[in-house]
Amino acid sequence: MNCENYQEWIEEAALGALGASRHARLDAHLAGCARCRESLAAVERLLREIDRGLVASLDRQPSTELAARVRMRLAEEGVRARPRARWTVGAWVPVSAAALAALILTVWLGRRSPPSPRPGAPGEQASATPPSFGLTPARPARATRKLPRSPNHRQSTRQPAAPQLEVLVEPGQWAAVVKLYNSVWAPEPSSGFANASRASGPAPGPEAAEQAEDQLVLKPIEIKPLDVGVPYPGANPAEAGGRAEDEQTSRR
Amino acid sequence: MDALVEALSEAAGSLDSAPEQRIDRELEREFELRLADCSGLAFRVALGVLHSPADAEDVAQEAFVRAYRNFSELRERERFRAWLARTAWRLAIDRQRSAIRRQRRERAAASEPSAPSVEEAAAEREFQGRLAEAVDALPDKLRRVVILSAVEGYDMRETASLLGLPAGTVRSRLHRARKLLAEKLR
Repeated sequence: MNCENYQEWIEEAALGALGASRHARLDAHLAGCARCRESLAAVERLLREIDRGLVASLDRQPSTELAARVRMRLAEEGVRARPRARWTVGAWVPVSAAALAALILTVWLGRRSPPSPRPGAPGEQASATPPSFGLTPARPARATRKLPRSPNHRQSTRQPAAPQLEVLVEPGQWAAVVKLYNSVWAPEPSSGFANASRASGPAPGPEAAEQAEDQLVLKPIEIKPLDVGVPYPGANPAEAGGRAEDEQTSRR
Repeated sequence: MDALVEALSEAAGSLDSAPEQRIDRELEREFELRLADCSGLAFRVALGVLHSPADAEDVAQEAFVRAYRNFSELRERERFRAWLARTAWRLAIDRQRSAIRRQRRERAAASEPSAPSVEEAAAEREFQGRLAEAVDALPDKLRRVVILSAVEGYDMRETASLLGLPAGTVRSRLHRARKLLAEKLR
């Protein structure tokens, strides 16, 4: 090979990309060729100048005013770091049952006019079916039970509207939500909501668990899929049946 | 009744606003750290394209404003740096295409003060001018690698992280770019 043929190898060697065997052959040639040694040195010098020139052209710092200009621009435009989401999944989780009940009542009351007052008959027995005013428990039990009606319950002359809202209510909180609703229609000093915790509650006994449902417990709720008895796609039907059986067992 | 419902709604709202304000303050504090840490990066990337400090600062400012809008997704440091470098690059390229900005750059370069040794300074300016033209003439992929490598002091790992490319790809493109520059400047 003559010097012309080695020129490409010289460039590759200067760039550090020449293979080992070719490098060996080039080294052998360079040992006996001053012109090629000079050519290699020139290419290496040029590459060093290019690297130095690039770094030097960029070796500057922005002015000290850049950060202030960015802040001023953000303030002028009212830019936010993230969009403000009023209601997100993360915002739902810590909402208490009381706040959730208030929200549902606000929406529902806005859709209905106040019913005409009618004192409820004393001594009414609890019925097995839940009231049909749009609220349903998160997990309807297999054996439905009627909740006691407040003496101040006002019987609406209108046909009850079909449930339009579904709200997730913690098991055991159903009575408390109903009591809240009743107290809103006829607020009295002794209404359940004003006395969320009973000042003079019953002595602990067999009925304590039942009456504890009257008290509104403020705690974060967990958003879970509604169990309507129909398995979700991919869900285990046996698991859905087992959950209802566990509910019945816990109520005994 | 209305007062009762309103009070409950306000209570529910107060439960949500406090954590949100804390998150906003935390985001702003983190952004200030990024602004201090990465202002040089955005500026130098833009400078490599525009060759004008004034234009480069304008581009860096715009890049940071855009980064702030998307900061909730860019909180991690490496991700922020890579996003910022890409955005500064795109903005600088867009700006370079404007003929008006190019004229301003030429006027700014002509008004720079001379170095103590006039001949050396002239030779250096002449070389820098030719180098800048040669870099501008590179294909975009090679040009980006050359400039970011120079910004990062030829740290292959950092350059690969900024570009989102494997280090081997960066090395290969840098090799091709330097070869083309050497041929042009010989």
